[in-house]
Amino acid sequence: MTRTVEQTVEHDSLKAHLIPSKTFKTIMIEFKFKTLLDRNTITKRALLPFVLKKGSKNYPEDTRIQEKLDDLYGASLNIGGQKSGDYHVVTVNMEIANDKFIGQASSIVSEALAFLKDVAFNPNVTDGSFDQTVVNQVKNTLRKHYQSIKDDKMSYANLRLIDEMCEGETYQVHSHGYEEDLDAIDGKNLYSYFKSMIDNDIIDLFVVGDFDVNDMSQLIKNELDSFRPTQPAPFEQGCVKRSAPSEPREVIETDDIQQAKLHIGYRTHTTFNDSDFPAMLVCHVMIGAHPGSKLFVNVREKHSLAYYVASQLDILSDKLFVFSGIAPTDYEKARDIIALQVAAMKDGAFTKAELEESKSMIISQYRSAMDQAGGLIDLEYQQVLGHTERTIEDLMAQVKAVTSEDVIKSANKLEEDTIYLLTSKEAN
Amino acid sequence: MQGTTYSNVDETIYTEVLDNGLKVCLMPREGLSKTYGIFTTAFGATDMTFVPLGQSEKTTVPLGVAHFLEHKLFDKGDHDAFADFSKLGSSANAYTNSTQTAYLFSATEKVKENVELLLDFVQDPYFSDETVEKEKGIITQEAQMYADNPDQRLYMSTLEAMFQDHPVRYEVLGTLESINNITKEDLYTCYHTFYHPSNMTLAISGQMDVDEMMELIRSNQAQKQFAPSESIQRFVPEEASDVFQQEKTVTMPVSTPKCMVGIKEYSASIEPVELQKRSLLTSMLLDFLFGSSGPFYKKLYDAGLIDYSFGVETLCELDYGYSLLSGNTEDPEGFAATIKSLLLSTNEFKLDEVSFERMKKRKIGRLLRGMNSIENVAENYTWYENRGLDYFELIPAIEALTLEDANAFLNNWITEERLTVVTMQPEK
Repeated sequence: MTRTVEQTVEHDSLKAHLIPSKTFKTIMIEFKFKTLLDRNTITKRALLPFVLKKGSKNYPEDTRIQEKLDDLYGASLNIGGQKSGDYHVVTVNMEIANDKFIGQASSIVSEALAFLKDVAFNPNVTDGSFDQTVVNQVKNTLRKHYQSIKDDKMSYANLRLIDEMCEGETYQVHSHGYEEDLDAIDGKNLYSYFKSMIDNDIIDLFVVGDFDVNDMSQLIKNELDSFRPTQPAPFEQGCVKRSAPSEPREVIETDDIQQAKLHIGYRTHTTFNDSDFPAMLVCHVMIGAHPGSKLFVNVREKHSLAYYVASQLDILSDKLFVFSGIAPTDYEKARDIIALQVAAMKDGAFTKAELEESKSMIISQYRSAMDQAGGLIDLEYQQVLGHTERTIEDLMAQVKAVTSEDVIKSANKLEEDTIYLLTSKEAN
Repeated sequence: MQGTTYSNVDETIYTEVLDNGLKVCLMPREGLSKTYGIFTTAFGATDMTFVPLGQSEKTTVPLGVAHFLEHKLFDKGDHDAFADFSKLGSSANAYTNSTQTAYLFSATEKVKENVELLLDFVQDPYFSDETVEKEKGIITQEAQMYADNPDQRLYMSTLEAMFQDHPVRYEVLGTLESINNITKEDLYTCYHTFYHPSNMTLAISGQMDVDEMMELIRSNQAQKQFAPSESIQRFVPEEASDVFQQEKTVTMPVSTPKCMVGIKEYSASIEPVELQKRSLLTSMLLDFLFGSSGPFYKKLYDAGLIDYSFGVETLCELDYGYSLLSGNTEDPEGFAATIKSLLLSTNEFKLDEVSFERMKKRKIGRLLRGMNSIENVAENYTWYENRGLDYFELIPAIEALTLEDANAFLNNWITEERLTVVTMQPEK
């Protein structure tokens, strides 16, 4: 394939990552606002994407925003927030059609950038306050969201596992915020937090698509680079690695459910910028990230205990999670079989073929991700979040070089920390 | 092999119908490292009553057979095709819906091996009493996962209320009872009838050499023997145009009530060109009226009747169509009454030229964004092709729609007898 080359350009107020590629029918533009997760500000950060979508200074209603998007040949706009390791990242994403598919003589890119700047940096504010009606509606939205978290049992079990496992850690902070904070938030203090976010967050801008790098860089300078004088100095905070308790915590809760959720958290003592991260990644994939993995083959195929069973590695944090949905009566059996799979990895009870297929799969997934604009952005941004110079090519080469011994070493770093079971009332 | 170039979207598609009846579509795209293949049979959950291949009497199979068969096709007794893809470093998956079953892979190397594996595992069934029995535990857990999901329950309850006889009213997985009654004979009966190459489509998209790929597929198929093809006789009960039940209430342990309004669009066969027009206009109008910047959305939102969870979807098939509007709401009665009256008001609604042009641009932009994904392109191409339509002609079809078309459709769209309201109340 023709590898797309990323060029980073330091502008005064942000860092631009320009990734030209002729593969896509659209151009994707994405802002990333990054700061550390903070219990005191998280609810405001959770509210802001909703408020920004409701209108900007020059497009003061969501209807005006949508009309502008339609006029920009059916462009899309997405604003959201998420937890990435110990960080909270607010993303503002826009995708516009490539000029050549819309029979348009002049470029719509500069128009799109100007619009995006208005939406992201120039909100609809009067007398130093967001519109109170909008803020109240959005608070209500979030309140309803909090109340319905428990309706999705799988996400609820994940949330509860992290609550229990990560007491006192930055990572424990809920990225969607907290209901008890809502009452104290109003248009004024929310806007005041917005200003501080714009001033103090580290901001990265990604542009992917068919464009000329010099022209784009100039456009960014003209259209976007004036919302603040300087980019704050980068701050580094690696995740503080913790050990599991000497005996794993077991937390059992009940609900009106047919299927029990058995979710287990492990400590990995490894994060993205560690030199043995590639080995941990391979280890995780062998444990539970594909249909030939230990968990899938044993828990699902051999013992027919679950439809879903998988592991998930939080690459920026020191945690690996195992998820499964089982019959409530199968709890002990499933827990034991899962434990046996992790033990097998520690003992090196796997074949060379299992190792090699997992490595190929990881590389294939990285290559596939790079075929998509969103995937390219995520991979480049992982490097930013992980504070590492290691490029995705480097990482793929290091994954290829992982040996059985490396995997066994990584498996032996795994410590079972917390077992969370959400089960039926009858079973308990 | 026939090549068709669509200059408006910069795509060339190569198609061929092989001697055994298999339809092959190749969609090469340069600059990608990934290749995606999807092998689809026009056999879904609603194909329950039919004349088996080589027989003369019709038969009815248990609910959930199509999905069960999909699971079991991977199981080869002594090995698992799912894991065979893992061994190639690629990922595979499959899904079943009302009208089709699809098997797919995504790979960045050994593409030929992947294509052959896809063809060979789907065309070489191994069903035994033992493997069929073993799968019941897994599918039961899959069903229980959906049973705990309030949105899935609401969705199925609405289909049950809308359709009196058409099998679209049943869960694709079947019931716990029907799953337990499925035998290997049921699987073979369906397999021989519906997995005949003449009932299937193979679509490959992404990185490939078109000539080599087509030759590989031809020679793979030439080595296999199939019974002569017959056109399949399927029987679907006649379905009234009005909904079965106009109102229904269900209970579940949810935190907030939910409500879904269903529109039974039609329940008699329509021509492909009519399907395309209805499908486009329905989705464009629903999006315009009830999308997050639409006039109807605004009324509902400002009245506090909907929140972030509000969503709209529509599905048009050759013999039935429905649209669904749903969300969490504290006031299900107000939600339902307001949506019904808004829907009925469309009999008098007059769209203006400016709004209609925006709707068209929005739809075209969305289609172009979707075309970035080779997975999406292969799936959609297959879906349209199997219904006598052409996915890559959608943009000109949208451009050709007139304001008069839209207004005529809109003013005849809704009748009260085709609306159903299903409320989900929290359990006491």
